[in-house]
Amino acid sequence: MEGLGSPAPWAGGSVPGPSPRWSGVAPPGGRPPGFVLPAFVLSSSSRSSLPVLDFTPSPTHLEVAEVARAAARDVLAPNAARWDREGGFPSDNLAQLAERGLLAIGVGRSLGGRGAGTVAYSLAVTELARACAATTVALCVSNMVAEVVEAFGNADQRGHWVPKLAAGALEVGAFALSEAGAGSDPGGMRTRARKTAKGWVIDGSKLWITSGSDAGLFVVWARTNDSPGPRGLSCFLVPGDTPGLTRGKPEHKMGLNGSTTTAIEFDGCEVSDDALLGGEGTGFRVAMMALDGGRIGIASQALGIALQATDLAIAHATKTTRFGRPLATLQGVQWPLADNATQLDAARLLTLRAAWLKENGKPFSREASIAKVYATEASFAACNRAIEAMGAAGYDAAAEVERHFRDVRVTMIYEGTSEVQRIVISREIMRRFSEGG
Amino acid sequence: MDFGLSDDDAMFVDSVRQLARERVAEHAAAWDDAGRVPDDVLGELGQLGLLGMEVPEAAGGAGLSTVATTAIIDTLAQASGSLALLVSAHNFLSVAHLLAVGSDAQKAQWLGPMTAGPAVTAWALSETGSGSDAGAAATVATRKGEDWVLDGTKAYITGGQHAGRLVVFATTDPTDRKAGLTAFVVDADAEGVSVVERVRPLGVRAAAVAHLSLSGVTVGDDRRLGEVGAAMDDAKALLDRSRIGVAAMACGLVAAALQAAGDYAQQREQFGRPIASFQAIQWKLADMATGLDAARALTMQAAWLRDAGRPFALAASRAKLFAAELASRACSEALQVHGGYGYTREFPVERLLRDAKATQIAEGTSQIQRVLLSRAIAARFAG
Repeated sequence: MEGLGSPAPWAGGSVPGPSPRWSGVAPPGGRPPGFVLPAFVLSSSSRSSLPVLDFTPSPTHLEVAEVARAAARDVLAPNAARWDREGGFPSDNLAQLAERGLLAIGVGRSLGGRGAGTVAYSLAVTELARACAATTVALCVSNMVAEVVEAFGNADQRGHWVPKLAAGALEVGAFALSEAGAGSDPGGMRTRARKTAKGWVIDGSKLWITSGSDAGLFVVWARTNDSPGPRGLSCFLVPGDTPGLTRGKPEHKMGLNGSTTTAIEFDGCEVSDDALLGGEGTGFRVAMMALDGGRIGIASQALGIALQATDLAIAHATKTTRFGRPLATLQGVQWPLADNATQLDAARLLTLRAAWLKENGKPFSREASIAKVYATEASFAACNRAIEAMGAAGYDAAAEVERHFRDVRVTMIYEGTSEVQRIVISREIMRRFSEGG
Repeated sequence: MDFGLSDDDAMFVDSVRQLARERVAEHAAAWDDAGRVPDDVLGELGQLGLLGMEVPEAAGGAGLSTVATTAIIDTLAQASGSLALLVSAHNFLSVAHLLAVGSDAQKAQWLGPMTAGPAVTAWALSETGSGSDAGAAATVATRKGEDWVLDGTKAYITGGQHAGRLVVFATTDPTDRKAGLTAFVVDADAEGVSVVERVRPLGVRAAAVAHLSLSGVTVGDDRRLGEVGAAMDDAKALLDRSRIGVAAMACGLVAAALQAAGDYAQQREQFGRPIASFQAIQWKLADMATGLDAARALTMQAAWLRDAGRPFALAASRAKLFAAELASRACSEALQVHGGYGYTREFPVERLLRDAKATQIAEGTSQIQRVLLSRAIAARFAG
């Protein structure tokens, strides 16, 4: 059976050899040679000249994907099951990923980043998530923090924070946006920042902060005036050791146990004027950029988890005998795996399309939402089918696939739930209709 | 068709509902973490008759109808999927096996202690090399004078970690599949029986699933359950029945998920109003409720057919397939309604989802149900 392992659309003739399958038996023949799509119609909604997307991988794409693949194999895979079992924050993993230049993939070289762009970022995240989704989410968020500071920071802020984030000198960066009463609805935010003579004082509580236990820098959203809705929001760069900032205990979650999710309390937390990121009242714009870019990362992460689960199921089906023949020869097992292959290919194409648009400076918000809702839901279904194809062995922690099932579930929730993605998409569709498009 | 319960059965189900509410629901998460249901709770279940639901009252059991036991498993699963699975397997596989083919002497010896609890009797059929293809079992029973010697390893045995007794399946001739399987009742503390691994599954973690090893375990012929070579046929009939139990468990998980999602959606406000007022949420709840009614109807239909003495195997397969597939989907949707909260262990929905996945695998995977159903459909068209 052909490994879903993946005829990656970016896998041209010069692609490095078969993907390592660190946790088990490789399907016969390893990863198939792959193919190159000459061009890809950009979007059914584009009214202009139907731009096309070239899928030929650049040397940079291939290099970053290979670095990530090696890091997944050598750094993440050996300890992923232990992180899942014991929990905690994977500092050691992240330090090694920083050394390999994976904490600032899209950020410019002058600031210590790789300057490799969003397509390379997406490919890297997928490779890393195959081995350890928990470490990968901390890496994703830190990458986005670096990008946001690069995009909205002034020269001093950029020069001060971005190289540190890239080098892993701050552990990781984190976003502090959600609150107990403001998840999908940032308009309900209660955290406030009050202007003082020396700077700002922040008060409030944040929830669901990825890497909250260890992050060295927080991008914090707070209300700075009483304008209703998003215009009253501003954004601050708050070092993790600022007095008045208290980290909560890590939440006990279904999965992603090797990453931490905590509450963060701000109690009279004083920051100077140069902590303000992107000007007063621009917080909503910053949030939208962070979330849109973040969605590409999460789609890529979900895809990596599901590809790995599928590969494990294929390996199991080819080496297990039932009714006197390999499980993989039974249609009942073949069809779910064929569905995985089909839907994960579609997920990959949608994700790379959004990444390519972002990298090339084109609008990508709608495409990022489409990629995220499709890739995460397809990936969850794929992990579910992978367990199903393995039966009881798939339900057993010893086989790794149940971890992928628990880990992938959250991708349908964070960086905007599937429901919120559908709101974004349908709003865009309705706008086109009302404009007579 | 009448799915109604007799007055006595209805009272019984009420008492189970009370027990589930007061003694199970609030502890289910802790049991899931600890990996077992405490003995005192299993003992209470025994006193109530839940460890001998189909054992005749004359023999100390509860003498319940299939319809009543289905309502009971559904009710237990609303509080704890692990407990529902444990009770279902003990009653509908192990105890039912003894009831179906045990001799009068065997029943006199074991029905009492099995029904009293607290230790359950685990039904040890699966092996690592034989799940849905149970005929491939490699555990061997060798004749030695009047006795039998059992050697082999059993995998994914529900309740295996703390069982008091086991029903073990073995082949009397591993070189000949036609020799069939033979079943034996083995005390869990017999010499040569050991737990080789406490399985860490995705869900049903309190059902104490284990891999068990039998090494030179000697038992008398009076512990043989049923005829030599006939246990596979006996097992098929028991699995048909037990599928109704797993279907009922799936229904209970969906009911709990719907309850949790509905409660949460009323309380949670976003954009200035309860999220229950959004169609995106309302439709999820509506689909869950519709699915639950359909799953319960299929499950009760299978139970009713069995009570009426009519063929029910295909109805049981349909019920389990439909209810189990629904459970995974509906519990995932319920988690989704909770957003980030649902992904934490502060709320029950992530456990419901993990438990739901077991219903698609236990007592024959969804794939095997489809094999059974499509085979029967093909036969009808051919005929």
